[in-house]
Amino acid sequence: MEKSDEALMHQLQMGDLRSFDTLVKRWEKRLLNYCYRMVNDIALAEDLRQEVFLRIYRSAKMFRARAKFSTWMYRIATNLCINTLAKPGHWKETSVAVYLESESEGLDDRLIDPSDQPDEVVVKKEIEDRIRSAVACLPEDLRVVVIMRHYHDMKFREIAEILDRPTSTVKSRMVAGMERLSKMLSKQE
Amino acid sequence: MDCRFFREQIVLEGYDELDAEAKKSLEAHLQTCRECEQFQLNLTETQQALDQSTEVDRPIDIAALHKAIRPKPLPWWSRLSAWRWLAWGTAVCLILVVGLSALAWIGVDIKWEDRGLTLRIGQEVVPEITEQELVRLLEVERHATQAELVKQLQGALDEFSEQLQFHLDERQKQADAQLALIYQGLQSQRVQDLELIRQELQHLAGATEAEFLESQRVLEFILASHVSGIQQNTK
Ligand SMILES: [Zn+2]
Repeated sequence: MEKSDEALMHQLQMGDLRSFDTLVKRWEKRLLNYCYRMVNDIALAEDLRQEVFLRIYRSAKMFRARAKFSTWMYRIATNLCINTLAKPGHWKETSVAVYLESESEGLDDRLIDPSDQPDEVVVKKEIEDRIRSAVACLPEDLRVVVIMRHYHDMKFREIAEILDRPTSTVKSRMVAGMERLSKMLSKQE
Repeated sequence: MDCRFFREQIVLEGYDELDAEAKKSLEAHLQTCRECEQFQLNLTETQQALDQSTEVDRPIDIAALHKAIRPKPLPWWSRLSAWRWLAWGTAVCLILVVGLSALAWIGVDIKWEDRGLTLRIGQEVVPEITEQELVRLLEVERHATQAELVKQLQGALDEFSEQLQFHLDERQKQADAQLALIYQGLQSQRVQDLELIRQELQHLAGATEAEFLESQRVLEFILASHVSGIQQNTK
């Protein structure tokens, strides 16, 4: 039977490095995607993922047996992403600028240009980028909730626990986040 | 009830977190409220749009991660215990004496050997050296430039430092082995009393007071989780 994250953490606390590797393998993809959606920069996201795992390893002793590993991990990741974004001169300005530049055009106008006839892959990539930028443009408190709920399939109660906020706050942030996204992603009239 | 409330319900419904009763009341509201109906439509579209952004997959460089988690060795000077400081200090003083008295000097070899610092001039080993002797030696060779002198002193210093590091590493290994034994004891459930572990720790080579306190905290934690593990297993 596959060991739970918490059991692996317990083994790690006893000095078993292999259990750490198992945890890394288990979470690397999800963690990367979480960081990527948070910071909208794949290279930075990879660095952040590495840093999250490092912190997990280094503070493994602090992990309480009763806590849920993923909650703890996402909390570390969230704080790290937000702190990184808060650093001056960060990507944030540029990514917002890129988005705002393109915002005047609707999604469809931007993507389907008959003179170009871009192939399917290019279109897909552009849609992908545009959605990522839109999500990245949300204020952090809304963005976290949208990413966790939509892409990481976490219940609102779980998100509330990670963010240490009441569930009601999380729900209203989700509403606000989806409203904004809806405006950003729909074709402008 | 107001639309604000129902917007939240719509989102909950969109993410399958609404119970049957709430669903009913939402449906009733949607039939009477066009704005909320539109909101639900927009939500679904937004969800579909978000779904078009797929996941990326870039495996982590596990070797790099392992390299990063390996604890950085403490700088050699922080691992020096008092007597080592004394030895080190003496050596530095001696070298300083050499450095200060000598304006020109070449052909004299300073080496850190088993017993300590020795001076070598050609084949002749000078086990102990007085200031007078030094001056005499230096009088013999006064052709070296200051740069050459500094270089030679630096070389001796580096060698000395390397030797010292080697001894420290050996000691660190012994300490690690001792710690591993303690861990093993804990894992195999032959838990001695905490005081014993404390005593063991106190003997750990080279530990400063702070390091000792930290290790103690760690051990206490491990012991506590170990005990809770046993309790869970016996339930
Ligand atoms: Zn309404």
